This record gives sequence, structure tokens and C-alpha cells, in this order.
Amino acid sequence: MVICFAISMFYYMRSLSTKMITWLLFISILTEIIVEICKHTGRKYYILYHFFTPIEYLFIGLYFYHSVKNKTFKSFCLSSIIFFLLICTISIFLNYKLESFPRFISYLECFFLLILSTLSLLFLDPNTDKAIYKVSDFWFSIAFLLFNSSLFIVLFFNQNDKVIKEIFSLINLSFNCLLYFLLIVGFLCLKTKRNIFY
Amino acid sequence: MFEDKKEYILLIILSTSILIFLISVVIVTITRYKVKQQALFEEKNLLQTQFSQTLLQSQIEIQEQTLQHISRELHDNLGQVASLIKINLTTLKLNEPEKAVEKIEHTKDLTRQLIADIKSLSVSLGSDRIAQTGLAKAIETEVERLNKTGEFVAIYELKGAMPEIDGDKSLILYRMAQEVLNNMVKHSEAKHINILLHVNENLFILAFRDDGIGFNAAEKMNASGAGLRNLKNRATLINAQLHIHSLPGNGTEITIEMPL
Repeated sequence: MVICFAISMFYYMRSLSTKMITWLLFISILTEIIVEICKHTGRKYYILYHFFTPIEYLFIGLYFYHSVKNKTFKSFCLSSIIFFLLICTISIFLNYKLESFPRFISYLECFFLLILSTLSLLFLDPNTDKAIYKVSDFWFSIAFLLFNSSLFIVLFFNQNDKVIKEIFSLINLSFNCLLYFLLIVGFLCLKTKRNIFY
Repeated sequence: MFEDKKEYILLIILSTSILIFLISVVIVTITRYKVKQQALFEEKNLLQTQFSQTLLQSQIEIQEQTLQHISRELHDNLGQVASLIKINLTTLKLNEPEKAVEKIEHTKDLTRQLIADIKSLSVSLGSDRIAQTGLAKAIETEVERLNKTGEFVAIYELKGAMPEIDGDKSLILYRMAQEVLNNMVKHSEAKHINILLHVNENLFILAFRDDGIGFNAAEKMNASGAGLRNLKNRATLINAQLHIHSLPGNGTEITIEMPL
């Protein structure tokens, strides 16, 4: 995550959409640091995810909003962000167990992101000079699509059993690594050398 | 592990469905991208072909106009001056020294004028005249030609520094300017024509205004005549915008706006 964030800083000024991912990575790193501190001090940290999830969705949603030109998709994207933030706010106010993991919100986020990443792939604007595997938005969308697909399965099942929990944690960890790897690939596709001369 | 066997089955079904979904999305995305890319490529090629055709047509038209101009100049100007020189020389009487000196002086003036006219004509003969002299100068020469006819008072004004415009685009812009001026000469019945070339940081504006009889712009654009349509097509090809404001009795204003 840190490497991905460091690489993203090189392409920060490239476009508004890449700025959103950089900010998302920065907030993710901050959240993970706080979570680690909480774990070491024995404090409950799940409450952080009640606030991190809507922020995460906001930034990913804004990334998709800026990267796709289709107007219908843009309005859907904005509506989904407003709707999700509203649900999160309601959930924070109504939920008396803020110290437990926000499973419903995470599941809803995962569902929305699956739709957004699928649609963004379908609305991907073609470039006459670049093959699809050289387009950064393709890799970003694939990264979110793959990660949320795995999360969709993981969150679907009750993880009461310790072994299952460990297996699912391992799956989640692998897909996390895949997510950041694909994001790095996406950022590297933004390298301008080719864009300028071809 | 899972308490219920159903959960195993559910996990397998869900994972398989998601996997199939992912593969389908990737395949559809790649296929759609390739189709869109091909369409875009074809569109780009078509535009390039149209651009080349228009460029070629503009070059031919300019050549034709240059030949017509040379023919007119030879007949109306150079021919006349040469004839005058010949008359002066044949009527020269050496036994009347005072008159002879006067005639020789007059003949010298005429010869000087003839040489100057031949020089200016040779400048207009160059095929890459616009590239050499620049678009602003080429338009200025057109305006000078208009003024020479004595039927119009044409005023040319350049505001801002002329930017470097691609040679092909310059040629098309020059041809558009010629077309507009020709139309004004032929149809406007105007006495005054104003030409303004305004260049600012990111916009190139070439504006023409006359005090002629004007016309219904909307009607003319829809009519079968090719003149205005040609102008519009040329403007599209160089990514410029063409604005025509005209009403019967109110003169005409035509503006070409091209982003830099």
C-alpha cells in the first residue's frame, strides 16, 4: 500500500481521477496505522471502519466519476455516492454497536463498487494509439473489480469459525496485494514518454 | 469449518458465478474496446483523407486563381505599359530634342513601373507564397488587390502577434479568406469591406464585414449552393468555427474562429 502510494505521488498532478486514488491511498494508510496502534494498545478499532468505508467509497466513486465521460454513468455515480453516504450516516446514528465491524455497509459498498467498476470498464474510452493493456483506467477498474469480487464472497459468509476466519483473512490479504499490484500497474501506464512521442 | 454442507455448496456456486462474471466482463470489455478503437481509427482516417482532399482542392484553386491573376495582370497592366513604351519609342522624334527628352523620361518611368509590376507578379507566382510570406501578408495582398480595383474601400487590420500556424492550415485559411472576399465582391454590392485579423492567447479570429445588401444566412446555408457549405466544411477540417451574421439590407459579417 505504501509503495503504491509513493508511486501514485509521481502521477498526482496527471488528472483529477488519479488524485482521488492518491488521496484514497493516503487515508487508507492513515487508517491502517491507527488500527495497528489500537491493536497494540488493546483498544477497539472497528469503529474506525464506520467512518473509513464512506470516505473510501467517496474517493473511489469520485475516481470513477472523473475517469468516465458518459453522462448517464456520471449521474449514476453521483447518485450512488449520495445514497451510500446517506445510508452510512443513518447507520452510524442508528447503530448502537459501533465497536462491531460494519458488515452491512461494507457489503453495500462492495456491491456498488462491483457495479461501478463493471460499468466503467464497459464505458472505457478508446485510444487509437494505445492497446487496452496500456490504459491505466483499465487496470484501476480491474483492480477494484477483482478486489470487490473477493470481498463480496468473503463478506457473504458468517465467519464464526476460527479456521474459516483465517482462510478468509488469507484470501482477503492476497486480494489486497493483488489490488495494490494492479493499481501500481495502472499508475505505471500513466508514464508519459510514449504518450508524448506517439 | 462450515457447520452446514449447504454453505460449502453456496460458496462454490458463488465463487464460480463471480469467476464467470469476471471473465465475461473482461472479454466484453476487451471486445468493446477493440470495436470502439477500430471505429475511432476509421473516423480519424476519414478525417485525414478529407483534410488531404480539401488541401489539394485549395492548392488547385489557388493555382487557378494565380493563373487568372497573371493573365489579367499581363493583359490589363503589363501589356498596357509595354504598349505605352512601344508607342513612346515609335513616336520619338530625335529632331525635336526637348520633346524627345520628355518622352524618354516618361518611357524610363514606364519601364521602372513595368519592372516593379513584373517583380510583384513574380512574387505571386511562387507556389509556397503563403508559407513564405505568411498568412497575414497574403491576406493583406488580397486586400491591396481589392483596393486596386477602385470599386471598394477595403481596410485590413491586424491585432496581436501572428502565431505560427501549420502550413496546411494556413493554406486552407487563406483559401477561406479568398472565398469570403470573392463572395463579397460578387454578390454584396458593398462599398466598404473591413477585414480584421485578431490573435489572442488561445484564439485566432479572422473577421470580414461589409456594408452590402446582405442576405438571409439561415436560408443560404440550407440552400443547394456550395459556397457557404464549402466554407463550413473547411472550417470543420481545421477545427475552426464559422459564424455568419447577415440580414437583407444590413450587410454581412463572417467570422472564422480557430483555437490555437
